[in-house]
Amino acid sequence: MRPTSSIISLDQVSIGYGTGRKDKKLVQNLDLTVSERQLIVLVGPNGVGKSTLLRTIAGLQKPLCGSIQLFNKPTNNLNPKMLAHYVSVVLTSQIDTGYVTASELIAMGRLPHTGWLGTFSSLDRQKVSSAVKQTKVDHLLDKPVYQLSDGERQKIMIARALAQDTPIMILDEPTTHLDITNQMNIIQLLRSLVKTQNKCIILATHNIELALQVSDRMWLMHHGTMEDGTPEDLVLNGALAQAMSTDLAPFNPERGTFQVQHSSTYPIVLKGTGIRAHWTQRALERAGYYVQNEGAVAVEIADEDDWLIYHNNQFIRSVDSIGSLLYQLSQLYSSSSLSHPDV
Amino acid sequence: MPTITQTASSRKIPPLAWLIVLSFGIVVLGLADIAFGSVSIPGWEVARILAGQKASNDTWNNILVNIRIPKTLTALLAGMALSVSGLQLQTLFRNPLAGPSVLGISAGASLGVAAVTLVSGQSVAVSALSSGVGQGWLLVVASSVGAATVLLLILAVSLRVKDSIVLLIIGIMIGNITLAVVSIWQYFSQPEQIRDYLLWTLGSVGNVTNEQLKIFSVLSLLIVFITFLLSKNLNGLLLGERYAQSMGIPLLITRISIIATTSILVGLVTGFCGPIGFVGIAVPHLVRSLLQTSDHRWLIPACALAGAFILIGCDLVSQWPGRAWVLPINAITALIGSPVVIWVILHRRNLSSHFR
Repeated sequence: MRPTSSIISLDQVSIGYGTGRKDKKLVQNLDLTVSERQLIVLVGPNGVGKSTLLRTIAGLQKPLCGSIQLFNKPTNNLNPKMLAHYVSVVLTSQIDTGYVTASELIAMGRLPHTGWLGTFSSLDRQKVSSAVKQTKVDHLLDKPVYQLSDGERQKIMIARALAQDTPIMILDEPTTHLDITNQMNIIQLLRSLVKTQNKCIILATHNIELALQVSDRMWLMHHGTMEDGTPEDLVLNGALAQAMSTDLAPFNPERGTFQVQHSSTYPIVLKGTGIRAHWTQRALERAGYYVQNEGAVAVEIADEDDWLIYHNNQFIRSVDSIGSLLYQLSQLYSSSSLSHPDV
Repeated sequence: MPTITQTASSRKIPPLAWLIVLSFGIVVLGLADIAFGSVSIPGWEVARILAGQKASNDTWNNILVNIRIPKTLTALLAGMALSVSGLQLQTLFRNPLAGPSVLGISAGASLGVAAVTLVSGQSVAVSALSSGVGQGWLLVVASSVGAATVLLLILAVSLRVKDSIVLLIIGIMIGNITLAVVSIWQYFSQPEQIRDYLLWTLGSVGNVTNEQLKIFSVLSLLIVFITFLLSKNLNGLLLGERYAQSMGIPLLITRISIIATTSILVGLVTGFCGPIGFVGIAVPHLVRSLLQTSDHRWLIPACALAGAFILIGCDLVSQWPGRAWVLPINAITALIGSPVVIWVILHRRNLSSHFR
């Protein structure tokens, strides 16, 4: 049933690492086929073998058994140079390289395309400059790599992979250690590469909420198994919740987020709607209250920037921030006999 | 600190200029090294001999043609070979403290030489000059084999141990074991054999005959040229082996080439000149800071030139003009090299980030 024009195909592949006599198998008998140029996001808990899978697909590590084909060519028949024409990688390992400047690092992407001494042709120069343009790193080019911030370095590494000019790009946790702006920049960049450059990109991440929003396809690794599908399908069939939820933070399929469970001991009534009500409820839940319809204490979201506190339908006071609301509520609960029977 | 970098980069001298400066320096120091020595020879006579004419004094002629010129050329070749080896090892092991002497490769060569000097039962090592060509080559082959053995051992360990500091310590320990074997061997040897061996360990660039020098120069220049052809692979290794592999660098071939070229270079130099320390580790650091680049296409020629420059300089110092004595060259290289290593460690903020 495999399409004839597959980009990546894994046939009964087991991955892991051999330690002499004993092989440590992480995932066995994996069958996967990629035939569209998509953004594929690989998720799964720590230690399930995400990096091992990525390295195996990239040909940096041999599968324990089974065969991997890139563009219908088995990878074990490809020499490193040919492999480097198909796949470029951005790995998790820190790279720190003395006097190498950002532009020299990006230029290294052309290594598989140049001759003995690595002399550049006009095509090489053109590929490097278009990689620079797409990643918008012109201002960094003269800086030594060790002076770059994590986000800048990651962009340079991606630019290097782009300069390598391969149809497949594999990135292992490219957004780890990055702030939210840089994460979004990188993800947007990768999405646009899939669309405009017709690349097939596989990336591993722990940011499932982001993955759900941006991926065309999700590979979910969990306890030696692999679920493959559109992210929405994996949410609806419960696979994602099953793989990634914990008692402390179960997956909320409605919001697509993991929600921290708070131990709620105090009942409270919340009246009002809108964004202020939403964030008030979150603050109350975190502080140990649970919102219900009937109860002795009530909080009303007033029209102005105020919160009104009621006790047995009697107005107590109004406060002007969630911070002082929580403070007043704690005073109220500790001064009266309001403590919950459970406590 | 962007301002500091900007000034630093604006002061950066192009690599080619450094190559020219170093070549010029080699010519100047080389001439000085030939002109000065324990026997003082007038400058114009030196010039005449260098120009291919006979000097007025046969002894002067003999001293220059058979002793001083081969000695200077040996220093040039040995400095070049050791520095390029050190550079390759530092890149391969991604460790700033790697070098022929630190990783026990010189110790391996010493074991090879000890095997020849202590077993053969005849005096061979004091001077390859006096012991005949055949014996001299035996030393070179033995020391190359010894160097290669240790290097292969370290390579085998490096396949399992990924941490470069651990690997470095293992290398030092292998060196220690090798030297311990040599010590035990010495204990059961005749005094004159031990004396030969000890003299050899002091290092000298003055024991190479003109005949040997021909082959030494052809081999070492050829192999340094081969390492230059490896510079693209070495550049790929700067990002680590996985990245190198992902960019099409054939790892196994690269590793084997680096090890083969390094062990032949170190074996040659150690066989001819004894275990000369610190040049291999210190020169690559000096060159990187001078050229402010990590591109091996520049670093390899620059290391070759700087290594030659420094070892000729050390030779000049060791036979300080007008003195009758000649200091062991190893003492001079250690005196110059050790402060360089300390300076590198203290002044490289990014030492750990230099290689990982």
